[in-house]
Amino acid sequence: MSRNMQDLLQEARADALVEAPPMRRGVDQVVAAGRMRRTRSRLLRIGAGAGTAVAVAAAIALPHAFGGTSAPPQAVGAPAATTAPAGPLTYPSGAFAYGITGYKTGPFTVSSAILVTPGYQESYVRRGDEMENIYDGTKEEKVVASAPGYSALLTVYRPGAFQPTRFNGTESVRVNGRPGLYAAGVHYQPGDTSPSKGALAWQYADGAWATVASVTPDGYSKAEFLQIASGLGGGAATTPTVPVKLAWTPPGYTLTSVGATDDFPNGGPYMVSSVRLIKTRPAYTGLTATVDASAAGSPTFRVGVFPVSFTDSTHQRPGAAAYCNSGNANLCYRMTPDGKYLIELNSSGGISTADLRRVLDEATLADPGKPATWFPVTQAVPGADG
Amino acid sequence: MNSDDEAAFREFVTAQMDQLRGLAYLTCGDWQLAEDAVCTVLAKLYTRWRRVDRPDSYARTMVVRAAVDEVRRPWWKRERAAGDALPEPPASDGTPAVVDRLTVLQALRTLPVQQRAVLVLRYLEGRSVQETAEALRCPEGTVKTHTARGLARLRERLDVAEPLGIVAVPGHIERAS
Repeated sequence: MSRNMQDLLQEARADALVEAPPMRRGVDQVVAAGRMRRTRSRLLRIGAGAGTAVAVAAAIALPHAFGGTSAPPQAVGAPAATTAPAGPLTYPSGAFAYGITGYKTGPFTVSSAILVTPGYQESYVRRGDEMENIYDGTKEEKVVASAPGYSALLTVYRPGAFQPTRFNGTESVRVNGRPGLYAAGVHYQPGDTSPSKGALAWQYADGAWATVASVTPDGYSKAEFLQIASGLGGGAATTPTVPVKLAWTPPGYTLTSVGATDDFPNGGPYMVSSVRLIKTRPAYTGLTATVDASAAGSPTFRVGVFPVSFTDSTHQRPGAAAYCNSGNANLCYRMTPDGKYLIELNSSGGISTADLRRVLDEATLADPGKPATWFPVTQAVPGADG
Repeated sequence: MNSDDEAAFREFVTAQMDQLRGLAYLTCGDWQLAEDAVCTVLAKLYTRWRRVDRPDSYARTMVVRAAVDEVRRPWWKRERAAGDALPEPPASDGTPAVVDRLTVLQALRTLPVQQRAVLVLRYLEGRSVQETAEALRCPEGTVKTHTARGLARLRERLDVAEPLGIVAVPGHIERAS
């Protein structure tokens, strides 16, 4: 019997699927892989794009205070990376202060802290002139902008907060005379099955650990990790700043992280700044990796700031008043007066829409495009000073 | 990605993952590579979820392209999880229907991967020559050549009629008016 090609191919696909082996990965693994991929590309900067793409890239570059096209990503309000010798890192006593100063060592550029939690502070590591591309999202996948990229994450834990149990049985090394452990097979996060593995953990002070882990498939050698670790230094305790000052938050919620982007590992590549509050803050002790507070099981909400270019037009409503998503009771928004940025409040549930709107209505906005106008996070979130 | 977006993405993956894997399998002929291609494409789609107008169309096109790439890529550069290879499907039970479909699959496997990809996009996905060329990043003339040669080789093994509205001659194919 003669059949056409479309019929044959459709039958072949359907029949093949009947006998297909079960998939090893499911929706959760796909989402996790997407998050990892997004995290790797969340640092964006002006590239060689044109038209709106350039405007988009410029808008998000400013809050991250890049020092130039070849400069490292850097936390808001922090000094630029420097090759000048830094002093030994002393972990700040405040829950939301950081001490990592950006530095350069060999081909590596390490940013100052871009995420601060009560248990650790985190920086990006850029190797050479690594770049990340922004695609236009069409099937042609045109690159509309390129940005300095990063391929490893440096995490400095508060003394006593980290236990290197995932490194048990791995190779012992020395970093500036202190003990460390190198593991070619350890990922940044447990459960990650991507090729992006390899990590070093070491004591930067007595009882105080730091880690540096590869987050791209290219990987890092032991020698490279050691070079990065050896250069770690610190400066004066610095309080992160944010462009949104919250006058009122729902009772019982407390700050758990502040980021120059989003809180990892749910990083948003297009985010300018974020704070996450949570009902029951994770302990930040006995950590074996960084914390995903959004998955900690406690009600939480995040206030994030996006350039409007990266948001759906249906979510844009210029004006001073907050408004909420008609189809999702856990999402509310407010735009900056100039219409260039959107503040998004995303709750995991348990907070009324009226209260979410109140959080945004009573907030004071700085100009997200001018970090000098931002507020210290300890003044921007009620109760954030401890 | 906010909770709305992630919920929509999860729904999309749940609904489409299996069909995408079938599409990739027809293209590359290997279940493990097919799964790798699908997961790679969906992870990319996650990062662009808000910026893709038609995620279903985007995903299908990208999966075929990724399946071609998986076949061509050296094994050590493939984005895959560690672990053993997937088991192969069970052998034919000898019934006519099974023999038929195995014949189609076996015939497809005799084609170069680029020809398989062209046939899958053209006849399974219904893409035009231009769209197929864009998807596979090759000239339209290449698509036409692959189409004609692929069809000719399949005809040697299968009893295939011309698809409605398509006229094929060796080295050239065009849509009938």
